[in-house]
Amino acid sequence: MIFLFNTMIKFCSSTIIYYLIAGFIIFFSMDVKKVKVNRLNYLKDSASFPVSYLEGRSSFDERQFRYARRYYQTLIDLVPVYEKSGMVHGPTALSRAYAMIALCDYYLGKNEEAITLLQKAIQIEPKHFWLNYNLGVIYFKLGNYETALSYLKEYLSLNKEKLALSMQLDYYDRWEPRLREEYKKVSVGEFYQLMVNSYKLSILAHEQLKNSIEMKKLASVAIRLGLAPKDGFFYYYADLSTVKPEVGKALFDLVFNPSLHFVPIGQEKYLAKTR
Amino acid sequence: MEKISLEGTAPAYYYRIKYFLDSIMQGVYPLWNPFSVWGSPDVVDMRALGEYNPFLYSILLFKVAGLSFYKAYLVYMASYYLVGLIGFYLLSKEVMADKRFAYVAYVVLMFSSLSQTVFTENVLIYMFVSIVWFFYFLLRLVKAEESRYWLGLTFCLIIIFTTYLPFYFLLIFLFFLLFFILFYFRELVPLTHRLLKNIRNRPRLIVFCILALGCSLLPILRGYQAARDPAYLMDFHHRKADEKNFLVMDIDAINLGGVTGPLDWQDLFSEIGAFAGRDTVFVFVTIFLYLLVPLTVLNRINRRSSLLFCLGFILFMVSLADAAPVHRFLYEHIYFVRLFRNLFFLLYLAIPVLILFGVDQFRLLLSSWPPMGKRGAWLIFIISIHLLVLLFLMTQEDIIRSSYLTIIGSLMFFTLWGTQVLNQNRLLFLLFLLVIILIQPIEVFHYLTQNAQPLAKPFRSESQKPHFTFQRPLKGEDLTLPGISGYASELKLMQDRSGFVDHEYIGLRKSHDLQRNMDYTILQEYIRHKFIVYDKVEMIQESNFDLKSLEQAFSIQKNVAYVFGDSMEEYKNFHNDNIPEQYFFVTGNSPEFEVLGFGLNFIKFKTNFNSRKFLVYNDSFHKEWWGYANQIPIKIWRANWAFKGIWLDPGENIVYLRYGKPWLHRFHFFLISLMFVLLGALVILFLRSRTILIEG
Repeated sequence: MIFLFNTMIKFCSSTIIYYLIAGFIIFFSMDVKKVKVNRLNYLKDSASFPVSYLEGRSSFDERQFRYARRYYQTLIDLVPVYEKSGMVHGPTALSRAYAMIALCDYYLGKNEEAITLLQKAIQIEPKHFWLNYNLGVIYFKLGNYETALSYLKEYLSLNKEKLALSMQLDYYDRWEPRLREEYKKVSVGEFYQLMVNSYKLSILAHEQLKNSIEMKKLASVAIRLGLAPKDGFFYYYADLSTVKPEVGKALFDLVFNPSLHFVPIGQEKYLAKTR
Repeated sequence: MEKISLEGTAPAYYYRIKYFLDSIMQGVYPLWNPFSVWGSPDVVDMRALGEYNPFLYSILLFKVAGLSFYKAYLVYMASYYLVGLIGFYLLSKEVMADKRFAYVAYVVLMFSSLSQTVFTENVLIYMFVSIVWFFYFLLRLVKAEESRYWLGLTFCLIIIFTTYLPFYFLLIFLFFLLFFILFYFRELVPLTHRLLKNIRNRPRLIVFCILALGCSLLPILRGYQAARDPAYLMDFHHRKADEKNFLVMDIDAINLGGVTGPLDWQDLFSEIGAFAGRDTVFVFVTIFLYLLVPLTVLNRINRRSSLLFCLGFILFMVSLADAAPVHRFLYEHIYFVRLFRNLFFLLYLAIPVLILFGVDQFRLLLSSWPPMGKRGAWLIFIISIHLLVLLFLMTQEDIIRSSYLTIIGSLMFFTLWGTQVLNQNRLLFLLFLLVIILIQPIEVFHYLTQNAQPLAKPFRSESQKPHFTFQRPLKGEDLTLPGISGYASELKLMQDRSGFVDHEYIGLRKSHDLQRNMDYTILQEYIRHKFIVYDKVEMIQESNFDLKSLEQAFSIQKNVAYVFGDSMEEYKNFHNDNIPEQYFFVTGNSPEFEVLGFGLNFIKFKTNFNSRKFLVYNDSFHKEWWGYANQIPIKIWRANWAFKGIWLDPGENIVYLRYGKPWLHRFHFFLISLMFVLLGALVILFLRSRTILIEG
């Protein structure tokens, strides 16, 4: 008993008591939500940086990518997430935040982390074209062509309209009709280049895997769908032309430095267009 | 050295300091800036420089020694910070009564993120140096009743009062007093008696100190008065301010300056290699200090540690702004807490306090090392803590390699300490410890250098003199300065600028009104000419006036000046016949108009018109302007909403207009001289006491 008392006295008169009191004060007085909101406020300018970079309005800035990553990470902390049987459930905003973090990770050279996050996002929006496309791009870059194809192939057969609706926006149904129409119009327009890129990536993946039959088949389908751009890429791979397309800058970027596509976070973009 | 780039707010400070010293070198204390937003008082801007601090003038010495202004400035900032570090070493020595550990504390601080602010956040360094020396002198004064410590305290207090804002210091001192009373209650009475006796023994010195401190209050009062003056406009942080006092800030504006926005606790360990000088908050101290937290949990507490810990902790809590309730409480109950907003400065200022606490705990840990027979449990404890910290680091993202090396080095240190190898050899002890402390900071500082923005354009070093031109440049023609944007670039160049600023700025309200409410092209066409000569005047009551009618008059160059005031005797006799429709603007020296002299605070010109005229000088009106025409005092009117206007009689007139009373100009030089005298006296007294000590 005396030993216990002595130990208690020693404990209470040691430095640990400072730390315990300080920890206690911080734990009970600190508004964690406020901290996160403050962080979002502070980082809000950086949040749009990845999009600005991908749209060519800003040059590469590692720090801005880190800040953007932190912004979306904080956003995730504020969004309720449910995990059941290893599957992530949550609102679409969560999947978009995962996708944005993945995008940042990709440009920060963390491909593995980007893949993990995109796969989490896909659990929330399994049919989302851009998420699958981005995964395809990363696997292609890593030289894992078969996996890249598995993410790209399902969407090759879709028409543009269906692609636009592949994103399961949980708030889409609640949108005003004019917004929905605008969304479809904008998305369909944006999908054209992505589909062209998907076909190109798939063809190049088949070329790497020496699947010349699949390669030709895909190139022919692309021509039939009217996706053939002026560079003669699909004609060459469909054996309709002997002129090998020049590896121009766009194709070079696609093969050696493929870009991810950003995933829209909300309806603001479409709202702006309908005003 | 030319490759070192200034980041954050430092570039703006560089140009302010350069502007100030260039002016001082010409024997002029800058009271008015005629190049900033069409003329503006310099009263608030100068507060951030510490212009009475004698160390600031070392830049001129370095310049005389052959360095460019930019290099001289860098050397000044680094050496001034070194002065603060020396003060911190002396303070640590006083607190811990151990030279070795005082040196350890000094090294830890030297390689912390506070050092990085030397080239990013001047005011933090200014505050740190004066506060550290203040506490050193205070502690010495308590221990030894000597005149030099009174002088030292006075010197530090004047710098604190006249540099940037004294409120950070006031808050720190308030908390210090609070915790001192709490933990040293019994000593209070004898201590007060001793101090009173000390004061009674040196009445003349104390009176001198009080008078000197009183003098230093004048610049603060002028700044305070300016901020309360409705003619003066504070920046957007004061938008929701108290209407009677524009210095007061809304709590939401203050909350933006808290640390919780940019800072996450993981930042203390993770991604520290990615930080750059331009990051608003970057808090870094060697990981060895964090390791000491679990290692010293069983140290016995003492009053000194309690005071240091509580002071550091409360400053940290205040810096959290609205994420913790402390700041809101202070905001509601203490007036001066409403007057400053960069709460993250408090976290930086808490770093030395927490370092002192940590190193003191480290000292206690080593001094309470158990005897040989009982070391088993201790060693297990030490090893376990190190392993746990290593494991913790492994679970974190982006940990730099030197963090692990520090932990391993620390484990080796404590093992060697346990085997008494280090106890015997003081030099080996210090060397080993320095290696552990420095491994991680060296890597971090290496990354900081790597991540610094390359210096795209060299900072201007050439001396400048105020040069008068009759026309201002257009908006797109303004010179840009490397590293700064916004109104900061408007402030500190001795050359004309368009005066147009896209956002709210600190300056005079009337010119701001024009910028916000008038068509930009019409205003620009009017404002680019500095002297406008009118043949007709209209007396206006401000409450009945609409800026649209002024805009209309400007657009057609109407030959009517709008003068604001209650009565104007001269107006009654002002009838020029056959006057032209449009006003006349002066484009250069001529027999009718000639500028004879120009400086920051004055202008002198000669006029020779054949009829009576009303001259508008498109430089902002302010009540502290005064003037003479042919040696006879004249009244300066507010004309065309924001500018100065005077009557000119026909024939030759020599007009002299000046801002600020001559005594004010002389007072500034007096205060600068006083500070030099104080510093000189301090140096002499310290050298003399050292000689006595050596001889003794």
